[in-house]
Amino acid sequence: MSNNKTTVMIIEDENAIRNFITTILNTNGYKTINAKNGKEALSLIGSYVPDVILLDLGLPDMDGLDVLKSVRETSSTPVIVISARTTEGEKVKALDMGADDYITKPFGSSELMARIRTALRHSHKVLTKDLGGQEIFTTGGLSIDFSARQITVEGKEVHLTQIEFRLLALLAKYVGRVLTYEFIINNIWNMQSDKNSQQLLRVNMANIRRKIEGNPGIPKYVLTEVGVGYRLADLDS
Amino acid sequence: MTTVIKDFLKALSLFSLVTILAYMLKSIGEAIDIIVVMYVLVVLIISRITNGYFWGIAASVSAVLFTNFIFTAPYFKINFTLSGYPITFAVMLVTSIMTSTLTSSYKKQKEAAESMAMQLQKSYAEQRIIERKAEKEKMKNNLLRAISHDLRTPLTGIKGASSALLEGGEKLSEETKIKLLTDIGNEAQWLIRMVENLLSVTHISEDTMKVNKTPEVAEEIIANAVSHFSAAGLSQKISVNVPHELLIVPMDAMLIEQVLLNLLDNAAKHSGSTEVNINLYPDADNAVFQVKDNGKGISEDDLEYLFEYGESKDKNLSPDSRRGFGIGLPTCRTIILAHSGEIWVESELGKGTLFSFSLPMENLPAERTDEDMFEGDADYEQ
Repeated sequence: MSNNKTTVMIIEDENAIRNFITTILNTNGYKTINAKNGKEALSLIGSYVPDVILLDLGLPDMDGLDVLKSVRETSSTPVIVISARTTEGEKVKALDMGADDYITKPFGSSELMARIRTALRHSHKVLTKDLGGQEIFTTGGLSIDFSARQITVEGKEVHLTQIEFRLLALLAKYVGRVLTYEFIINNIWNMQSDKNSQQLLRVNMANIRRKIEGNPGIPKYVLTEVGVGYRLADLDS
Repeated sequence: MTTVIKDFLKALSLFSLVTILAYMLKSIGEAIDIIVVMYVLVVLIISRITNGYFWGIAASVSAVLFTNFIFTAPYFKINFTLSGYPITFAVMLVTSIMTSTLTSSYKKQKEAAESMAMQLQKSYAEQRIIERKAEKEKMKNNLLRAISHDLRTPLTGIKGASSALLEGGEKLSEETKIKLLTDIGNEAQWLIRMVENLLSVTHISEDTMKVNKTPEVAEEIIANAVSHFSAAGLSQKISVNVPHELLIVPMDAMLIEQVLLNLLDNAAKHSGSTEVNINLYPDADNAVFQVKDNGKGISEDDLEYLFEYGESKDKNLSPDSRRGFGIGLPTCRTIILAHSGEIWVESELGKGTLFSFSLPMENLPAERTDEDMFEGDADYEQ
């Protein structure tokens, strides 16, 4: 009865959207479970134990954020939130409430698959991380040597300030995932996010871009999610 | 109701006061003439400070009766037959009534004049509201017309292609199927861009025609626009130049990204260009964004109508043939104006088009308080 296929739960009330997501996932070798609303989703999660959950925030019977809350009370299954483009506030809220990532409507199949792979790898990393602990991180041409505190881009060494290094290291730790301004500021400066600290963060990120990107106008590594936060591109997936 | 009670109390208290005074004057031996004059005066005052004729006339009748009753012999009896007095009473009554009606009619006229002035003012204000509404209504209608034109064509395409696929089944070659599916995808992309334009307009406050600004890093917005644009699957080569200094610009980030997407879209789809260049530079207190293509250019006649919703230079042209421009560029202008910025276009036929827009920057030092930030933003709204 059970097989080794990765299971993705799709919580989405729109038939057309559920259909195309199911088709994309099935053709990519994933097993899918569908839920049309929040109540159905919560009852199915317990019995099927999905590996990843895709959660549309606009559900007919309950607030998507409440579904997220209920899931987080009992499990750490990666949750990718599906949201509309105009609702930055909602995305930030979902991330702060424990969502692993979000994908903005409308999205294509490659974007969806990349998000799911990142979420899955991250959940596996959490399981194995403390045993090994990697010393050198790479994504594309960027590599970070944590023990030597050294960064190279395409083989060339780049000098970052203390803060810049810590910022990049934090993004690398969660590579592929978007980190909110709030989360980064808490972690690096150990303070609450406000206008001034966000400005400080942006200036530092701009400096990092000038040092590691070939063209800071078309960044390859450090990507901005406007109104939400920053993401280090996972170029090895 | 309350004004009637108030008037009654006013009239009663004044009248009582004068009666007491008159009684005191009479007891020290003053002549009846003084008392009559005093009553005439109080009737005048009552008429002046109360509403309508009633209280003045009531006061004058009472004055006559009181004079007869209290102040003329036989005391505390009504008697009009006393020699010499009937004329005095008659004169007093007539004087009182005339004063009362005169002041009342003066007050009525004054009130009428005041209410007329107010009415005029009100109707003027109403007129202006109506005019503004009509203006908005016209803009809305133009927008709606432009939208329906822009919606019909891609929807027809999608509907047609999907039914061709469903009904054609196995008879269609693989190549045809892929072509039809690609068309569906492209038309849907056009619709998505259009809906996003409409959504972005709703970010602009209807009353002030302004937006909510937060300081944003200009190059991050450009990077985002380029990555979203590339994700939509267009093949033009895009190059970006940003200055070494960091430009922080107060804006609604989603809207400015929308402007850049519209300009990129325009450059890619309608100009037939192979390369698009985005340029960002500071110019005094402004940040200037430029989107340049090497396409076929825009004719001078078209340039004039580029930023107008649903205005076509050629009224004979079928509405559907206008699809080339759509609502993208007018939306750009609406957004930039809401930011107190400027947008302009330069084009040369056969060489390409350059769209530029400028946004006011923060020209305040890096170390600032939140209050400063707020005032700074407010200044931009002027």
